Amino acid sequence: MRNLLYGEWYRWKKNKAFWICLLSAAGMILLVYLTMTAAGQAMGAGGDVLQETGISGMAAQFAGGGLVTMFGMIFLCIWMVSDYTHGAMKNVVGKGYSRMKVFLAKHLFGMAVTLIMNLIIFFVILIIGLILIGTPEGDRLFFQNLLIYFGLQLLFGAAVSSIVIAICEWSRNMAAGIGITMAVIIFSPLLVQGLDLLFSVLRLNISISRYWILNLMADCPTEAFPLEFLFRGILMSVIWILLPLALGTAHFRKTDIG
Amino acid sequence: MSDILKTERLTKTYGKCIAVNQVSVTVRQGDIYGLIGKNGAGKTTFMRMVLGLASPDSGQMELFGKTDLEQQRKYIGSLIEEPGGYPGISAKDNLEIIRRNLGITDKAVTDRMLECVGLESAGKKKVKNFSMGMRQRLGLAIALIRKPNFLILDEPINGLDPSGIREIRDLLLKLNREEHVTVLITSHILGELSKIATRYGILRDGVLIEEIGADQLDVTCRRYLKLTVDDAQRAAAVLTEKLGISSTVADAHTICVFEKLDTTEEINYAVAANGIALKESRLAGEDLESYFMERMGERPLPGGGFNA
Repeated sequence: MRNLLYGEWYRWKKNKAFWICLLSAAGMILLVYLTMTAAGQAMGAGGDVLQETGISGMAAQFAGGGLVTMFGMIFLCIWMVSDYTHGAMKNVVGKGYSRMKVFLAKHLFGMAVTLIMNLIIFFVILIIGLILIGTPEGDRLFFQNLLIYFGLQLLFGAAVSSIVIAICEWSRNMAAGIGITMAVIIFSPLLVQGLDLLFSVLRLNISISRYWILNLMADCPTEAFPLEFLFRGILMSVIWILLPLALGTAHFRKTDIG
Repeated sequence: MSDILKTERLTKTYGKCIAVNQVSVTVRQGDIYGLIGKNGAGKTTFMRMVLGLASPDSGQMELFGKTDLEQQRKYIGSLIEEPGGYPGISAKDNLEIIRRNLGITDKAVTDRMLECVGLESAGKKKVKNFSMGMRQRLGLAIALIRKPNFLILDEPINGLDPSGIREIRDLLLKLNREEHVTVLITSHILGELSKIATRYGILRDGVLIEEIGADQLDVTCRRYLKLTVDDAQRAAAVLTEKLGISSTVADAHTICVFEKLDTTEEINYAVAANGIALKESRLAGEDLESYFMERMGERPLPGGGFNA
């Protein structure tokens, strides 16, 4: 297992897709910040949109809105599926490691790498925000809240990456992997909310959006975190990390390697 | 001699198609076992099952006499279908990833492997810029990196130029003779395979129809001059006395000559000149290609060549 992670580490060091996705995300963040600054200037003194939104609002827009997730997940799809598209999986499977160990190593490393990407992106959001908006009043509480918010988003991001890894394992195809992942990230929160609406019309007291990780990501507060939300968020993250891991492992163990 | 691979009624189906049908094969230590069959005969599927890349529907398998296959597969090196590797990075980096994955502590092994397969000057080149032959060489380097006791190679000389084919042949023979590496190999180039294989297995529609040793095959496929004469004993004596050729008397009217087949005119003349009635003289015996083709389900065409 350690050897497998060691191999993945070297592969990551040589991988350009990570830096391309990271730079794209950082560029997009900078562009949004600059657009909002320009919009504020165009509106005159009463319309400083960026100041009104604040760093927390911008963080919520990027992290909760799926932008950060999307770049990380595109990279993850490329990373996971390239093992199959280039036949590299054959060089590991059947070399003395159990399939479970192989998948676990790939899964853990994939999650870790997207976690690193998300962490860097959060720093970019913070640094650009501090430069363009400045430090808000009550900065200790602000940083404390931002830290909790980023921590929760990292946890939710880990759960989403676990789901994406399982999707990639089941599809084993770059186009299908990226397509399904994008569909899940963009449409699943809407679908879940639609189902919630349907249940309320049917007078059923069920709210799926409370438990779906992408809805938790979008609904995550940036301050005054309710204990119930924290507990539910952490629990759901653990469940959404473990469930795709179990499903992915089961598929990997049973399916032939091409 | 111990068994390196032993399969018992190994079967694999894809939907309604039986890719490998109850194949029982034994590869012994020191063998270079040539697995022969048409495209779709089940050769690659069989190898993939041995390597754990595909799981059999039924049947048993032993590797190195043991049934804990996962552990035993540590001692196998393989090249199946296209060589696996990441195209965006160099050959050396690909080998480095595998070195780390397999827990090989010797860091110099990547350079040695590149040198071993003739890629020392292309180690820093990205794999996506490699020719087919170079990719095959890299695949072989990957197969050999952990000093395997058993090599499984699926069409390893695909895409190689003649000198490359010779290099790989010499390398395999060297590994087999000096380091006692057992080899299971497939190739559509039968002439090339016959230069190294010590045993053959012939697959047809997923079924192993014959296993034969190279020695036995040499005897079976031996070409000879068949002479039909009125007195076989006398004809044999004449050939020995006049031309120094020994022959085998098959029956009272037939002798078989196995040597100096390029001097058939002299042989015929010697027999006739000594008052022996020569009724027929013709070259007989199957050549290697015909032998395999017939068993693989190919039928000879009137003008030569074969058809399925």
